[in-house]
Amino acid sequence: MVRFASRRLTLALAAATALTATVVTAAWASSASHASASRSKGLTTVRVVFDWPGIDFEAVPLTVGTARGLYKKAGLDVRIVIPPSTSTTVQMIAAGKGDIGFDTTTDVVFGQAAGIDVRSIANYSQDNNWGLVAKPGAKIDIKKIKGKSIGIFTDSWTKAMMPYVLKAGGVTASQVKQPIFSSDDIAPLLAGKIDLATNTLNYAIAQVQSATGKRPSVLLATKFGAPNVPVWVYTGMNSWLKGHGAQARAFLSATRKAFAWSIAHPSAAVKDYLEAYPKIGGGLKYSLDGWKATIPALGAQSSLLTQRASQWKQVVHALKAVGVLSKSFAPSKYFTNAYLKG
Amino acid sequence: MNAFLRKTAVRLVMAALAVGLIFGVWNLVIFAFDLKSYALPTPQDSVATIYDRWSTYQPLLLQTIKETVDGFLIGAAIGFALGVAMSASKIVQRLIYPALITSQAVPVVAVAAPLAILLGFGLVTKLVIVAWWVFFPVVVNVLDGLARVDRDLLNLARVMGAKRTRTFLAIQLPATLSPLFSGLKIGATYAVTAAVIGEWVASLQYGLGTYLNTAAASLDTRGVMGATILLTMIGITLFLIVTAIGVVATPWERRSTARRGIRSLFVNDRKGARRWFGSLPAD
Repeated sequence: MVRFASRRLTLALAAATALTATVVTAAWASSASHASASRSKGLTTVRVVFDWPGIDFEAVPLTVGTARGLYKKAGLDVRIVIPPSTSTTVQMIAAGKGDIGFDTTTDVVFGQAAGIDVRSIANYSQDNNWGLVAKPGAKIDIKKIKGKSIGIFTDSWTKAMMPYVLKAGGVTASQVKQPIFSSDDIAPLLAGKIDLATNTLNYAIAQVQSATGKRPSVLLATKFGAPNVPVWVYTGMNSWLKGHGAQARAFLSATRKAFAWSIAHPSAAVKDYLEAYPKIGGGLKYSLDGWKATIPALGAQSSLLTQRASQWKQVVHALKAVGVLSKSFAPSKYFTNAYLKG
Repeated sequence: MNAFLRKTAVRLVMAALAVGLIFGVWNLVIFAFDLKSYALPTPQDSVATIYDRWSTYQPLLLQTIKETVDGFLIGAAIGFALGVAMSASKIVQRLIYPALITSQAVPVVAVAAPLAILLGFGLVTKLVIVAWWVFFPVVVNVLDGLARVDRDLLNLARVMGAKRTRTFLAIQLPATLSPLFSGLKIGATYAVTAAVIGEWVASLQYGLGTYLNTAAASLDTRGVMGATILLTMIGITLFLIVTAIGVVATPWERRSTARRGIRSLFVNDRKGARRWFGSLPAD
């Protein structure tokens, strides 16, 4: 029996040695491939990690920047990297798998709390376009939500916003049903399985319009007391920004022009996007509806991409109030407008 | 008894070594790739998180166990019944088998939204998803077991005048046990993953699956890995329980004991002699 056990032990040790060799080789191969990236055709490659595991119309300014040669003129080859889940963008840029992130503002706050030295370098949107969504024609009365079922997601933005919904409705969490969804709460809404959905309005409008041809009823959270803070921002690791400040500036300068052009020419901008991603689901109508619904949240031309210290104070306050944020910092730790200059 | 204790002790030591090996490789990956805790916490930190947040984890754990076990039992029962029905009738088999294979090729996530709309956001949707994943290996194994029953034994029973039900209970049913438990063991490991997907689809109650999402959304990787360890433990425990029941139910696999079914084919006649049941005169 001893001989049998020692044979097993030898096998286990052999397996452990093989695993170790595999892990070390993979680590070496990974670092080697990362080091060899970066420059192609005289342009500097900038990898932008998207916020969602699938591309959608929020990438319009980036694809316009490429299609209209704005990034090329700035000496950049911008590539969009799709993350594996909805909450890995910050981790990916922290691990060097991307240079610039497209995140929610709450991701930056949680990232800093987790010890990740991530910083927002520009706003994507200027306003909070999150709210309650009902079927086309239905009326949303925030004072009458008691007993209703409200579809929610598990993301940090929903968690920060829901207390405002409950407070405005004068109810506690147990007085409404809150079915949790991972990917979509609009289909159950349209099927009559929930009374209200929660979503950012650009996605809700695009989905409902492409499904029914009608605009959904919406109530922005800012109408019942939620802070008017941007949902999405562009981010970078402080370590990357220190060594690649010129690239960050060039990226934001070209992106600002791409935003302005995409706002002025929505149809052409969406066509550029669909040419870059022809196999994307939803088609022209969905993407155009979505982009057009995104434009109002982007703010005025003069303030495109510019951040405010107050927005970070408000986000931190909202997350702390819900009890999901353990550590917070001064706004300057979360953002900088330095790369928007020059 | 001493031999049994020694054997059990060796197995426990090997299991502990295996766990140690997994934790060692986990730490090695962190070291080799220079992973920070926000990407992948150490197993030590993850286990400590379970201890620290036990009051949070406990109700979530119970909810996910309920979904996993109930769905597993339903899937196993459906799988067994389908396997038997398909074995009994070639027409049924030809009709249902392609549909079953297709059902497994369909990504559950893709039909998750319609399922939730159809069945609601309560326990039923999760049970359907778990059963969906569990029943297939059970069907395939039961069908395989029934197809491999000794033809000579079946012919002998028929010649001896055994009724179809008796033949099934005495010969075919015991023959399905070994393959059935193989299918159940595969199903046991699938069940917990299916329960997590069920929770991700739509849920009124928080379980470990929904907790994974909320923790990930706030970059709480320790919380994520703590929940992952608990989910893994549910799967392993279910696997071990099925294995233990399998050991008790199929003693002939470990010692020279005839299958209960085959033994039951022999009965005592009026004089107390052991005889093949088919040869007894009708009363």
